[in-house]
Amino acid sequence: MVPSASSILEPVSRIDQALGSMVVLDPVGLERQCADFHEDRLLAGMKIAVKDIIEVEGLPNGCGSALYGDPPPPSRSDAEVVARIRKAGGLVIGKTAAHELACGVYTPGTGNPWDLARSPGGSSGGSGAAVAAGLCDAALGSDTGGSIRIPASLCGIAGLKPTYGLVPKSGVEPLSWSLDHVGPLGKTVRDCALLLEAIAGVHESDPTSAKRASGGYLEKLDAGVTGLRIGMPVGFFMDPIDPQTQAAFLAAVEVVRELGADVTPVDVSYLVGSLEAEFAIVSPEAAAYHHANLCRNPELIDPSIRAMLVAGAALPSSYYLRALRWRQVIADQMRETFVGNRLDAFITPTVPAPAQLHDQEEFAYPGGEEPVISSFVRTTAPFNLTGQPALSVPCGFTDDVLPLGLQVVGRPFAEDMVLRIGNAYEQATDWVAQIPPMHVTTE
Amino acid sequence: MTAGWDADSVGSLLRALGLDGVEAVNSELIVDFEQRSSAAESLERSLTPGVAPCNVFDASWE
Repeated sequence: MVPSASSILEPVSRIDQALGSMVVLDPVGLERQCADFHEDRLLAGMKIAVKDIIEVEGLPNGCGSALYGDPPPPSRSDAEVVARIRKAGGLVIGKTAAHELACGVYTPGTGNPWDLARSPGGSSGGSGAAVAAGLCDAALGSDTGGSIRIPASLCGIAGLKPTYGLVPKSGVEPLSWSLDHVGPLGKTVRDCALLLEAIAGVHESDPTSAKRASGGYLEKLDAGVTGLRIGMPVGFFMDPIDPQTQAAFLAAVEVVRELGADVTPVDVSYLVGSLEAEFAIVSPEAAAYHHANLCRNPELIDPSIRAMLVAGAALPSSYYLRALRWRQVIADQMRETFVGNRLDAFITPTVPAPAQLHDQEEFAYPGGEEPVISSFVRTTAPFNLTGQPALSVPCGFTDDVLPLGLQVVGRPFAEDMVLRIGNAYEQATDWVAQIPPMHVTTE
Repeated sequence: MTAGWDADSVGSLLRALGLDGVEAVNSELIVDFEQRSSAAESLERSLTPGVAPCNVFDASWE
């Protein structure tokens, strides 16, 4: 059946009044796509939202920031990933809220569909909330230190940060050139695989695009995990951690074992220091990109982000080089962990805690307090530093019915393996069938 | 060795970079500089001289 723009957007508008996940809808572009509907395309009829740092022709690109104008001018063309979605028959419904400059884990103004008093995470918080609430089937996000996987975990959906360079970033506003990734969020792992199939692949206008073949992400999706060797962490990801999150992770490990995988503990204590390296790389790269904005319009930048940019601009370049050298150590050690232990994948809790309240700045763990941003980025950013693919898939709920996530990490460009493991786990559990209180079907 | 940041050193650095007036040189900013410096020193202590910076645009293990 050929969809219509009005039937697609009516429930989106209605639900989003309370949720605040979308910054702009695209009835004109959507009507045009509906008129060109072909059932035989890969993403035929799939409703897709786009994070507000990715260009969509005719729509403003505001990046969650006052720097880009009020309202920002409309984009003249689609980002490469958006063009690929349209070509594959995906229906772009509009743009989702982002934390300012894609630099934060709250996404102010957007609620979590499981509890509106809580954050959906960030920086792709609008994308996570929109998918979880059923406003769209999938969404695009970006991930510099966890910004796809954090909202996926907090909102109870799947989200994939692909290998660095697999998905082109032409038309995507940068935060940190060497750590930025673009990837899918979906209700299911299969949704993520479908979207990745459409958007992955070399693009000559992106100098960071990996010159290698891509695709085939659906072919082995149902191959199961029997015989696979999967590592799980000793320490680091669990130190500190919320007890309910830890229990959900350990239960997920048992499910993966029962499915036939050999899950073995591995020492990844060398990841201590990855948080410092992440921030020491993001700050100067973001400061370099936003230098003119910083000099001309500093009052338009949130004070905490502005302080980070100032530090990134002013601190010695030797600090940046130290972080890049530490990044090499981490990458070498991670490779040794995989090769030495003959691992097909590595699983961790996506983040050590469930969704925070909108104004909550710290988590209180049994082992002590930790700032919310450090907690989340501690367990996700190591794989921005190494560039490996990392998927978050729902793995349970807290007693307060807040979603929790399992992170599946693979070898570089082994997205098929990561998706296969995530899909096997998802199929063996019923977490994905749970519907949040704020959802199109519950209105 | 840390840089030993204080109001004068941070202020003159920001002026040299054309960033004076962008951020108030107060105790919070100086603490932020100190913490970032300390983190960088911490990374340095664990590095051996032969480690070169990462080739950030190649994630492959080939």
